[in-house]
Amino acid sequence: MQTAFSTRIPDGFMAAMCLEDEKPHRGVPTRKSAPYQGQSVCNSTTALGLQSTAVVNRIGSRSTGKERDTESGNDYMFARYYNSATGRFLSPDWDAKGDDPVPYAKLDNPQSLNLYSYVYNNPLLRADPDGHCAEDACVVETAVVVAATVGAVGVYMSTPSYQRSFSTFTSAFSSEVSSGINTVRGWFSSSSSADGAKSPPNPNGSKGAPDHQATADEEAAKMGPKGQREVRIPTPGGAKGTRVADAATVEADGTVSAVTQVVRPRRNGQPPKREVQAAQDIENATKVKPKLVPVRPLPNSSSQ
Amino acid sequence: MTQKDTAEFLNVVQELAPTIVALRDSDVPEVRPADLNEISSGKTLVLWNPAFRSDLQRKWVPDPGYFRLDTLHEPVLEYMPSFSNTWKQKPALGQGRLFGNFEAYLEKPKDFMKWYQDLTKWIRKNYPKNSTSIGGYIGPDAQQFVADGGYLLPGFLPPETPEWEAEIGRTRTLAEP
Repeated sequence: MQTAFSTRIPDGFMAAMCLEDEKPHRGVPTRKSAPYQGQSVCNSTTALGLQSTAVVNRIGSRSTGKERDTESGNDYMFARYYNSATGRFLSPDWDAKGDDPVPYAKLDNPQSLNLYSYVYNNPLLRADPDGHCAEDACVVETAVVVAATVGAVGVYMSTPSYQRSFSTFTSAFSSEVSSGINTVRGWFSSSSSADGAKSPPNPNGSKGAPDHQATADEEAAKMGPKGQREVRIPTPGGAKGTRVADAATVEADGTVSAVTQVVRPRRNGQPPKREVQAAQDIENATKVKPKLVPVRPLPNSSSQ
Repeated sequence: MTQKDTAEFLNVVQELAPTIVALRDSDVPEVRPADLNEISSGKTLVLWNPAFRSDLQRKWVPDPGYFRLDTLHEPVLEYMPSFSNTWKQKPALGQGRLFGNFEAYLEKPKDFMKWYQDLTKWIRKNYPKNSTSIGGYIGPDAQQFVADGGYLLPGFLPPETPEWEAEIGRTRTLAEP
């Protein structure tokens, strides 16, 4: 039996290389089990979305260490998906909503105003760790975090003068950045989100976005007093060891009589493949076929 | 948890903070403390610490028509006691659960999360973990139940398939020294 191994070697762009004892087909994602992180998806595309002879030797490199969605071919950058073929994100940053249409904008760099570009179109010098902004362009984000930290850890700062100077610095720095951002914000009208763009996957964690949770809660309530939310279902023999049913009717004797999974349909109206697989695992484990219900908008959200 | 474990746990809950144990669902909107019969009925309960919300009302669910406490938005914990049944002709104990929603957008009190953590900390400290994929923690009386030949089940009654037989069979080893 052939044993494959893989390892993770970071480079300047946080790329991870999967070195294996067999070459995958170029451009075809290859799954190899990696003991440190479960399964990894490897491909032969660079951060620029280009393939070259040099890349052939870097079998399995992944742009900035991110995983590729085998279904869509896009790279999962945590906050949003990145399409390496076009070198563009598929959606604007989720921070680009509401009050801040142009997050991380820098007045001295017009590239920062493009909400879909990757690291200001300069991947040779920059990398994006989380799909929000380039590594060295997160000053706004950092300022906010630092300001919050001052409040949280203030009790540990023993010197009042240090506290004063630090808070003066953060406050001045924040206001300077805010002023710049407000100027840029004025150049744009309201939300600049693109219609039909793919939303970031579950920025609210494993239980899903607020609309997903509200829908699951409603579905559990509709099931009556036996309806439960977030029912953990071990799935021996399934694609994953455990699944979580969004809502399930569990009788007093433990019998499962109904399962509902709330799904966010794809643009073609079909449920995502991972949801179908989850439903199949749950059906195998409980012998109850889950009902797939599309997520409903929150009652107080407007369609404008 | 057997009923004995449940009674012990609810005592601990009271010791940590004055808490009202009530039924999550009812025919009336008013929330009142559950009696012993209701607690052992197998119905879903809520742990309501009045320090985080002094008054609570159930909401009307028109279909199928009953009042239900909104555990998603209110600072209460859902407590589902374990259920008893048989599996493969042997007595079996299904997993109960303590469940809460703490997402930031819900803006629940910070101490509510701490209260939940105190409760889970007590469970983790005092009950051994179920090391199989079923997970969870096993109360002292439930350990005796396994030692006496009972099965530990997940939070529902699984079908008697070979996969489940292998998985649930592993819980039998938990009783072995």
